[in-house]
Amino acid sequence: MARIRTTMLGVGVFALLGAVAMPVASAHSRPANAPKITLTVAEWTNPPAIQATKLLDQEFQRLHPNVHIQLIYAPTTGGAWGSMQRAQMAAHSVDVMAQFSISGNWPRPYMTGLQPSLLEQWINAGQITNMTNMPFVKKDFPAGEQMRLMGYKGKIWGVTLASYGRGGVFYNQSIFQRLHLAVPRTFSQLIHVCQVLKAHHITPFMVGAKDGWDQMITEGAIEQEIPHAQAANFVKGLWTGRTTFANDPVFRKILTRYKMLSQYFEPNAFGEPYAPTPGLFAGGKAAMLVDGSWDGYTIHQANPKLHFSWFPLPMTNTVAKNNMQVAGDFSWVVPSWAPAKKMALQYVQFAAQPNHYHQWEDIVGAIPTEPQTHLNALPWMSTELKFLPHKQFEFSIPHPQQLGPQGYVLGDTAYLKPQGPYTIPQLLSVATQQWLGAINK
Amino acid sequence: MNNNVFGRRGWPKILPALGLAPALLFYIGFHVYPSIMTAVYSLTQYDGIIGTPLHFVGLLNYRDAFHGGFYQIGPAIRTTIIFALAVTFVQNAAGLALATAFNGKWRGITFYRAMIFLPWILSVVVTGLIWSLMFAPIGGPMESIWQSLFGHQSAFFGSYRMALPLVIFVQIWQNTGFTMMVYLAGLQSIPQELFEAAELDGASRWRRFRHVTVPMLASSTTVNVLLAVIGSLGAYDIIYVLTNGSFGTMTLGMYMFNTAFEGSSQLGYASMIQMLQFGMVLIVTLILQRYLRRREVQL
Repeated sequence: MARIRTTMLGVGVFALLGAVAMPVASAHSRPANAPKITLTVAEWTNPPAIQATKLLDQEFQRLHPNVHIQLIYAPTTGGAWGSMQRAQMAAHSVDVMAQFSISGNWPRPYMTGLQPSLLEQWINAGQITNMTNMPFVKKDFPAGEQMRLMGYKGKIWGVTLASYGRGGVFYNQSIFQRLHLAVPRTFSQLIHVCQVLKAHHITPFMVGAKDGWDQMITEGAIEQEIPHAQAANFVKGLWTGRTTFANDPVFRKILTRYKMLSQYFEPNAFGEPYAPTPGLFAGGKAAMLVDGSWDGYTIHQANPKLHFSWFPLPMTNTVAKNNMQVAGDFSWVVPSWAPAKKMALQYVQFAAQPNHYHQWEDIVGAIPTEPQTHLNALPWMSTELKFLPHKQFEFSIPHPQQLGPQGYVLGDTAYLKPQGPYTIPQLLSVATQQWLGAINK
Repeated sequence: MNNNVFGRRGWPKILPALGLAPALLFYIGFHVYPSIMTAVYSLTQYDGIIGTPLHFVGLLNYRDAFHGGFYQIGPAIRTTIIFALAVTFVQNAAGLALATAFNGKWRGITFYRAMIFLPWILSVVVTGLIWSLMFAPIGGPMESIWQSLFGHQSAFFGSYRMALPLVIFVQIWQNTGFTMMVYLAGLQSIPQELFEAAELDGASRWRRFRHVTVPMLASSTTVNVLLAVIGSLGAYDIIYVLTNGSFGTMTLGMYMFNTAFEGSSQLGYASMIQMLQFGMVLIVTLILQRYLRRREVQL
């Protein structure tokens, strides 16, 4: 009887020990027992970025088996992305969301009546997490860079992972080689390239001017014309009425140069929307495509055999001025009320870790924001890489609210003759009138 | 006198009210409340972000619209008026012509009527896509036709001369089928005796149309004109799809949409534009209704 009792006791002790040990053991072997978390990640449709994010998500889920990542995305065209991000924010149903960099584009005290951007409005409403003191922001990114890209009111509200060249063109390397054309470094050289192409019955530029894509030329030009150290003063001059489109010769110069280049656009460029232009360029319809450097993947997908690269348009005749202009782009932010905020911040930190970032960057092909990440030079980035050492982050010119349709001269290219009703002096005068009307209202 | 068929006492007494309640609540929630709130928001600088203050500014938005902002709102009002006038006149003329042409009993007529009515049931996005492709300046079917007719190319929806007329054309193309149907219903309700009597009196085809058909279609005309005016004064969807308001096609509706939902949300200012648009529709509709009703009586 005593033996039976002893055996029973032994079994009981084992069972008890087993019961205590089991959760410990399963916590190591099956952490899936932890509470299930669904992490909703939102970004706009950019095929390589989505591909790279999906890969990142898989690795994050492998590390956190209790986490299920729901990646949602919508195209920026047709207002779909705008609607989606508004809806997600209003419903408090997103954990990590992509945003374009703030890039210093917020209203200054002298910009009377200017409303902040949507992201800045969310920040003002306390809906975005302040990442200023998060260790990974300081560890993985160069000091000051994230403040420049995602800083607002002295704090950092997200991390920018990608930036891209703007104000440039993709060019067909085979055509350039065949005609012995070098990448132009001055405006005169650029015109020469266009003349040679036209003489050979090749359309020099493809441009989605119906959607205003040609404004990349004028906006790139102002970035090259105005020394960036003087940009703040220049913008203040415009906002206080000291500088106007009519009284500063730089605007006339830019529009004149734009007009010279516009002779080399494809016929009816102003009826052509942006969406099909990368495909048309990939199909050989033109030698150059006015675009930002983010579209390399799309062109490559449309025609994998095409040899092409990207260079910044030289809009002045001084080589030193014709730098590559770069804009902060893809950035992660975490809403302050995110349903799984702790995990969301871990996700952003995970994405910023150099090894994961490097992998993401290799697919996306953007200009990296982490210094230790070296571009793995996707085939179409060969020329772009040569310009990178002299890159400049763009400054922005915020527009007054309720500005008339011709109020911002660099965006008014469609109003110029022959496609529009105005000559350059007329347009400068109309734009000045409307700008002054809007800032003095 | 109590007309309640369910009863005069107890819960049957409130049965009609209960039956109406869901629809009434829906109407108040989705029509009355948003309308009142649009008027309220028009006096604020509300940005649409939940949890942020409304920031009442009184009539500042209205003042801005007719002061510094008039460069923007002035052309939008002008474009809206041109758009509405052109659409109303041409759509009604085309609808009446088609209704007259297809008011017979010949073989295959139902098929042709259905073909004309078809665009009305297409979504705006599909319509926009069809016409964007038709007028694509590179490789679109209209490009070669245009060039062979006029000897030069056109950017179509990207041209200041062409964009507004083309958008008006697409709006008319989409809605003429419905206008035709209303006229057709009106035509088919005219007693044949009237035409026979006029014919016996020696009235020509044109005089029969002028003095019998047109007066008898007065109520159909009232309906069609009012629907076309209200629809075109508030139009933005087809414009959004075709040109996004560029190239001189920015109507008030489009301007309101862009202000509210593009870039930084300015729901307060957009609500003010909506109120102006509402005022415009109300005034035009009241005047037209009064005129058309009086005309109906006269005819």
